Formats: sequence, structure tokens, C-alpha cells
Amino acid sequence: MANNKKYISIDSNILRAFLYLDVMLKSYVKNNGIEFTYKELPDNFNFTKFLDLKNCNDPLLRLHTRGMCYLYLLFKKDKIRMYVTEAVYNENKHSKNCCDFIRDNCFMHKIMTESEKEKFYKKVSDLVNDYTSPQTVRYKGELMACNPPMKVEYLEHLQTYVPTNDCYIMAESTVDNCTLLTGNGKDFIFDIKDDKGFYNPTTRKFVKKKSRTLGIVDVNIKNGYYSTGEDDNKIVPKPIDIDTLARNIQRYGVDNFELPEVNEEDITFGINRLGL
Amino acid sequence: MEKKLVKMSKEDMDKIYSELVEEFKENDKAVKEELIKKDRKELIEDYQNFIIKNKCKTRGGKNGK
Repeated sequence: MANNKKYISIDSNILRAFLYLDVMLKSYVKNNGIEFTYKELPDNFNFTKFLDLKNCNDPLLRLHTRGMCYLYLLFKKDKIRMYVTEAVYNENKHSKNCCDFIRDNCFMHKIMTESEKEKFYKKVSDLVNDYTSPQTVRYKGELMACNPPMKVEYLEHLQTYVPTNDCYIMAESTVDNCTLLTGNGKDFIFDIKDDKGFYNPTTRKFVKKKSRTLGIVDVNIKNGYYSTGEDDNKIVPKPIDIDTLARNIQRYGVDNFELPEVNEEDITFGINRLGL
Repeated sequence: MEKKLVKMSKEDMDKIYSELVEEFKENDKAVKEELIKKDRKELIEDYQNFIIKNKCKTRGGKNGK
């Protein structure tokens, strides 16, 4: 039977926050002699009845309590699946708790043959290269240069700049056609330097433009990593924050959350870092 | 699940968190060196070995198959 489950790639900070929630729940259940299965709980079950997450030390659980609990429960009920890429595994491989959590709760890439590994490696390397290289975009009919959407870091011993591990996390998620759930907005979603943002008078909130996301989306489209949805909209693997993902799933269901929320105009606008 | 809903104490929550954070710190120290020194292909190899050794669930199948 075809497996139509949706896989969501998770970043290390999400993995660690879910692990913390998982350990707390296990401890609570054990100490209070409670028996239950996740499947019997409603999707909007409120863990804060017995875990004061609003006052816990993990910033993602504290600030995105509802979204994190909702997504955790969907994962536990196998309505959506947590996908761990090579780069995320390697960031956490020396933590026994992380490894146990990955083994028990997450899905990983299928075992590759040598030639598959080579192909995978090449695809990932090409994407990483594009994420960290200046891009050209067509803006109002003209080709313009703009900054790369992702960062490089300087390695003292090599005396050179190399892509950060985040670039590999994004590239591997893209090659595996997964949305990347991340709590690290500044490296995957916003660019603090370039995103001036704007004030939305309706919500009375300051809204940041998602210029890193938009840049990543543009690179992915250029490299052919997209599918075409209804109305010819492009559905592209991209980084997504906790609240947006939880909201999309609640509104559109577990099968339709990969929204083409970025249109061509937004992409051009978003990655044009020249302020034109 | 509905009968006893006494909240976990803040001390217990903090204790769990600090133990995990301690482990993460050790992990991050070890991993930082490794990510710099190891070739990406070696890292893919480590990932695959973990999947096989632990019979992890993979996309489109189970137990590393």
C-alpha cells in the first residue's frame, strides 16, 4: 500500500525541545502511575494541565507552547512524521538522549548504495553552493544581483570560509522534498541585517519579511526542487517556523499544509537585497 | 490521564532541563571538532551506520531497509 504520510524535517533545536517535552512527560507519567496512549488524546490536548510549559527553561516550548504541543502530539499519533537528516543527526550524535529519541520517534533516509550516495552528495553540495553564493534574480525584467540566503563561517585552521551546517540541513531537507521545521529564525527565515520589516496596523505587530526563506525558495525553484499544485502554484521545500506550521495544519489538514504561500512576486521582492 | 492532574513541580522540570543541557553541551563540544575535521561523505557514512545499527525507521520502509 502506498505510504502517503507527510514527513517534516526537523532542525536540532526542535529535536531538543521535543526531547525535553518527551522526557518530562515520561517522568510525569511514571511518577503519577498514569496509563494512556497518545492515540486516545485529542489533537488539541493541553499538556499545560500538568506541565507548566509557560515557565519552563526551553525557549521554544515556553514561547510556542501551543504550537509545539500540537505538533508533538501529531508526531506521536503518526499523523505526520519527524524526519532527521544526516546533518541534524551529526549535530546530535554524541547525546545519548537525542540518539534514543531519534531511534524511537523519527524517520531517516533510506540506506543508499555507493552510487546513490554519490548522487545525493552531489545534489546537496550543489544546493549548498547556491545557498551561499550571490544570486541573480529577474526584477522588473532585469537581472539583478543579491546576497546569498544562507551563511558561511570562517575556519581558522583552514583559513577559509565554509558553509555552515545549517546549509546542509536545508539542502538535505530539500533534496528529500521535506519542509524544514525550525526554531532558528535568524539563520533560516529572517535576515536581521536586511529585513527592515513593516508595521501591520491591523494586527498591531511588527512583521519581518522572510528574506532568507524567500531566497532559499528561489534557489530551490531554480534547481527544479518543486512540485506544481492547484492553480499552477509552485510548492517548494522551505524552512517554516513552529506557529506557521501548526496554524497551516490546523487550517488545512495534515495532507495540505505545504502551502504555496510564497508567490513569484514575493520571491523576487524578498531576495532582492539591493533595496530597489 | 484525567484523574490526577497535579502539575509537575518547577524544580523537577528544571532538573530534567539542566541534565539535558549538560549533555547537549558535551555533545556540542565533541561535534564541533568532528564537523570541521570530517569529510561530508564520512558523515553520511556515520548516519547510515547509525540507521543500520539501531534498525531505525526510514522513509518508505522500516529497519534500515
